[in-house]
Amino acid sequence: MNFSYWMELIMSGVVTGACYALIGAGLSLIWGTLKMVNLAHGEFYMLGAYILWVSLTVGNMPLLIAIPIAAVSVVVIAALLHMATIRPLLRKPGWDMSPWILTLGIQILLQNIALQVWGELYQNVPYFWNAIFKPGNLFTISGQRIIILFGTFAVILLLMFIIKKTKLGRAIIATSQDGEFATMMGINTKRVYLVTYGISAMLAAIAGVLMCPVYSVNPWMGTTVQTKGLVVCILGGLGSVEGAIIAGIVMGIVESLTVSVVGSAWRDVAAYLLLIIILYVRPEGLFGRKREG
Amino acid sequence: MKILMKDILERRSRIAGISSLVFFLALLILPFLLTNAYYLHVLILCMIYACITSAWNMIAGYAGVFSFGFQALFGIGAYVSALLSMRLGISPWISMWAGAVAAMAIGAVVAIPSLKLKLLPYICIATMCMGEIIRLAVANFTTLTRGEMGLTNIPKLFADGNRTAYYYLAVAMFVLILAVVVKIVNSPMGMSMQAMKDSQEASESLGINISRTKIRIYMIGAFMAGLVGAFYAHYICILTPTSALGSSLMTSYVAMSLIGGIGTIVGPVLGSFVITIALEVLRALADYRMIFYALLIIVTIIFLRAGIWGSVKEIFISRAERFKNRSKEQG
Repeated sequence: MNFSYWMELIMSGVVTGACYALIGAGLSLIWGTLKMVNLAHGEFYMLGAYILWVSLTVGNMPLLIAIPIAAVSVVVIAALLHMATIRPLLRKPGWDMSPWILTLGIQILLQNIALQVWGELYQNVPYFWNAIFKPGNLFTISGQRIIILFGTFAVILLLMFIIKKTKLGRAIIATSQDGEFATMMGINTKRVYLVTYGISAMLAAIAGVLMCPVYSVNPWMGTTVQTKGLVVCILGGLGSVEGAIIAGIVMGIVESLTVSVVGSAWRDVAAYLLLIIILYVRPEGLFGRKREG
Repeated sequence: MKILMKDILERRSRIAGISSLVFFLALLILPFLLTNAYYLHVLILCMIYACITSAWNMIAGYAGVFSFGFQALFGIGAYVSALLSMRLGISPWISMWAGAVAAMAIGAVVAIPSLKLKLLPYICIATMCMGEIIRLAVANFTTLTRGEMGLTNIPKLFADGNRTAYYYLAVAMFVLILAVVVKIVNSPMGMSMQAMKDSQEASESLGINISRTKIRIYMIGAFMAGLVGAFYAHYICILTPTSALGSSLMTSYVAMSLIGGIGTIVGPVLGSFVITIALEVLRALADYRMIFYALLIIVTIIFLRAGIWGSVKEIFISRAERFKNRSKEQG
C-alpha cells in the first residue's frame, strides 16, 4: 500500500475510464442530435474489436492498416443500419420510445450474427506495443496502456476540433439545438443525423480496437461497456460530450479503487451506485443544464 | 350525430367485452383440447410474460415511468419465495406472497431516487442501474443464493408437478392481474397517471401529487411482478441470477409491450403471446433463432410504429372518423 501501488491503481482506472469516455461521448453525441439512446452502441465496440482481430489473424495485415479498416468498416455498417432502420422512424410519432426497442433489436441481431460468424470462443489480440515503462521508478505502466491513453486523447481532441471549429461541427450543434430550425437555415439535417451516427460508431469502434488487447474479444464484450457508457453520459449530463469524458475518467478511477478495496465482484455495483447517488443529489447530472422534462 | 358516435363506442365496447370473454373461455377450455404437455408449458410461459408485461405497461405506458429495472422485482419475488420455502421450509403457497411483498418494498425503494428525474433516458438508465445492482448483489452473495450456480430443487406448488393445475393457477393469476390493471387504469388514479404522462407540470398544477402517485403505482406493479416471479420460481424450480434477473427478461417485456402496442390493455397481452409463441416456433431454426427474433422486433417496430394493437386501433379509429364525416355530409 505505497505510492506506486496507488499510482498504478489510478493509472489503470484512467485507462478504463478513457474507454468509457469514448463510448459515453459517442452516446452523448447521438442523444444531442438525434434525441435517441443508442442501445446498439456496445456492438460497434464489439465489431471494431472483431474486425481488427480478423484483419490481424486472418488477413495478416500490419496494425497500421488493420486499425483504419476496422474503424471504416464499422462506420459503413453503422451508416447502413442508420439508413435502413433509424431513418424511417426518425422524428415520427413515438420517437421517444421506438429507438429503445429498435436499437435493442439491433443489439440482439449484431450479437448473434457475431456469434454465428466468429463462434463463442474468446479470442485474444496481441498487445500493440510490448513494452513496460517505469517513469521515474515511481510506477509501472505497459506500452498498450500508454497507446490507449494517447490514442483516446488524440481522438477526443480531434472530435472537439470537428465539433467546435468546422462547418460540419456547427451544423451538428445547430441541429442539436433545434432540428426544424436548422432545416430552415439550409442545413441538410438528414445528412447531419447520418454523419453524427457514423462518428459516434467510429468512436466506439476505436475504443474497441484500443481495448481489445487488454480484454479478450467475444460477442458479448459490448454489453457491459455499453451500460457503463450510458451511465457515464448520464453522469456527465446527457448531450454534454465534455461531461461524458470527465465522468468516464472519474468512473474508471472509482471502479479501480473499488476493486482494490472491496473486490472485483463489486466493481460494477460501485459504478451504478455512484450514478444513483449523484442523480439523487443532482438530477440533471454533473455537468448537465437544467432542462424541462 | 352524437347518438351515432355513442352507438359506435357502445358497439366497440360490446365487441371488446365479447371477444375478451371468448379469449378467457378459450384459455379455460384449451387444456382439454391440447394433449401435449409442451403446449401447456408454452401457454403458461405466455401468461407469465403477459402478467409482467401488463404490470410494466401499467407503469410505463400509462404513467410514463419507464423502468428498465423491472426484471429485478420479478427476480426478487422469485428468490425471496424460493429461499423462504427452501431454507425455512415455509409452504410455497405462503412464501409466494412474502416474495410479492418483498418486491413491493424494494419497488418503493427503487422508485424514490427516480422520482426527481424528468427526462426519459435518465429514468430508464437509473432504473436499469438499480436492476443491475440487484442482479449483481444476488450473484455475489453466494452463501445465500449460490450465485451463478443457481438454486435448484425449489419446492413445487403441486406435489406431483401437475401441469394442468399449474395452468389453471396461471390463468387465475393472469385474469386477476389483468383485472386489477384495467381497474386501476380506469380509476381516478389511472386518470391522474395518464395526465402525469402527458405533462408533469400541468398535472401538478391541477393538484395531482406526482410523487405519491408514482410511488403508489410503482409499488402495485412491483407487487404483481414479485408474485409472478414467485410463481415462476415454483413452476420452473431452477433459478439463476441471469435467468430471473438478467437483461434478456428486460428485452422481453419491453419488446412485448412495444410490439403489442404500449399504453393499451390488449397490446402487451397480444405481444406476450405472439413473441413467446414465435420464440418457440423459431426453435426450429436452432442457431439462427435469435437472429430471426431480432429481425422480427426490428421489422415490426419499423412498419407498425404503434405496435400491432395500436395499429389495429388506428385503422378502426380512422374508419370511424370517416364514417362520422360521411354521415355529417349526408345529414
